[in-house]
Amino acid sequence: MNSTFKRILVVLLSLTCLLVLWWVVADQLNDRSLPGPQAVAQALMIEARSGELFVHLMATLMRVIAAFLIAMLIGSAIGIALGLNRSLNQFVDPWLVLLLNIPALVIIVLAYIWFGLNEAAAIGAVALNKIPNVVVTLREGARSLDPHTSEMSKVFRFGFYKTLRHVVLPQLQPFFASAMRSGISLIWKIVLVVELLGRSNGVGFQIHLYFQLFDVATILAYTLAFVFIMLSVEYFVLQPLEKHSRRWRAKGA
Amino acid sequence: MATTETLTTDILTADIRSKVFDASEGGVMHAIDNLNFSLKSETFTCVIGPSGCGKTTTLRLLLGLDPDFDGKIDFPQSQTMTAVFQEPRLLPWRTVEQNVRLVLPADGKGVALDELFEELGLEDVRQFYPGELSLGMARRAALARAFAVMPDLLILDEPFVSLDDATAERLRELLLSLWKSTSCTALMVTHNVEEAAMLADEIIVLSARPATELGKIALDVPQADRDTAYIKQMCLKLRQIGLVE
Repeated sequence: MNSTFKRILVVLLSLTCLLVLWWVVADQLNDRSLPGPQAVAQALMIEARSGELFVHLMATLMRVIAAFLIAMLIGSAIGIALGLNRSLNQFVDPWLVLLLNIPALVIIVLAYIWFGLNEAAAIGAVALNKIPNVVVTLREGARSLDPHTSEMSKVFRFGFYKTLRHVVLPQLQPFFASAMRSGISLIWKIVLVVELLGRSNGVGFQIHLYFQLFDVATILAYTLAFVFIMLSVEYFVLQPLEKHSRRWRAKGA
Repeated sequence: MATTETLTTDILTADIRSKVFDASEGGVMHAIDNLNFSLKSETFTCVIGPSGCGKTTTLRLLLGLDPDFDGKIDFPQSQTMTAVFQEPRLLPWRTVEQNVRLVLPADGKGVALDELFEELGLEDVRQFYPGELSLGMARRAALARAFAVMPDLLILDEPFVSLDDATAERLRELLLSLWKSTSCTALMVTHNVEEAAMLADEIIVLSARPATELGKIALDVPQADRDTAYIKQMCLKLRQIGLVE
């Protein structure tokens, strides 16, 4: 309890220092290119009052969620399959290496050219950028599955679904957690690029718009608002989820 | 007469002509060479042999975990076979009770869990995770899981190894009483001659690798009536057959 309190205090202190530093530098510079905290707060209020802020935040959030779910689902399925099947892995591995090394921007541009400037192309492009990372992480997980428990489930005739749900997936939990963690932060950054290049709403679109108007305060307002949302997702959704699935580790072992 | 007939039915027949493993440097390692035996219904059979002679390999073949061998194993599909492994092999993310419940078929066929837990002295640790259990308790939980489905054939792979004498003794008694009350057939691998002489109706002695049968003895005194003298006598008999430690 005491240490948690101390940790929170340090985080608050650190953030306050950053805020003060920002305020001092902006005040000294007195330039449009670096507005101070008050100007950004003002811009945030204006956008919030007009309702624009929520519309665009929601649009981006929905894309992040959709791309995240698709990438996790497809990436995990492929990763587990590759981890369990050596010859399939040998065949697919070169594709994976290729895909891992194609820049996100290229995938986005090609998706828009081939599938049109639509939502499916946008979300698909983001998911495709993330899938190779999920595949690699979950492949590692599937390779480290305990053969003893697999044999146990065979002897007790668990069948495919029961084995997957009760024996395989729990063992992959740390790998899911790691893929999710790195996934959510990567995805939201790519979603902004997708919006900038070919969508007419979302945080990325707004940042592009205010970039052309050279309105740095509003750009920062949108950025901070979305960072805040992603941190909330991390602290109030991902971390409790992880804690719940690790509860058996806390005891013994 | 009918009863005697059902009692003498073979539940499993194994005819393993050979089992080889690919060894390093391109060679092969012969693990089993011509091993034939059958298990009579509701009997307790022990397989003993020196360490590394292929006992565990034999069990893996019987359990269907390794289909790559030359020979045939007959066990009716309609019957259930379960196992207690050397390591308890409980799922660490499920409590003792959840581990046991997991193996029950969807239609709920199985023994009354409350009684099973009580008999094995597991009532107090039902909600514990395997990581919180001692090896002895974890082995009890593994026994509970194996008996929960009312198996027709129970395979045990040195289930009492590396326990202290008193704990092993207590678990042997529990195993015998569960085996009696569920009237299943048991096949247990061990390298402990005394253990085999205490538990088995029939003991098969294996040679060093490649495993083949050196001989077998039938024990005609019921398990409950065996005294130290009888067990000593049986151990002597086993040592005369061969390579047992």
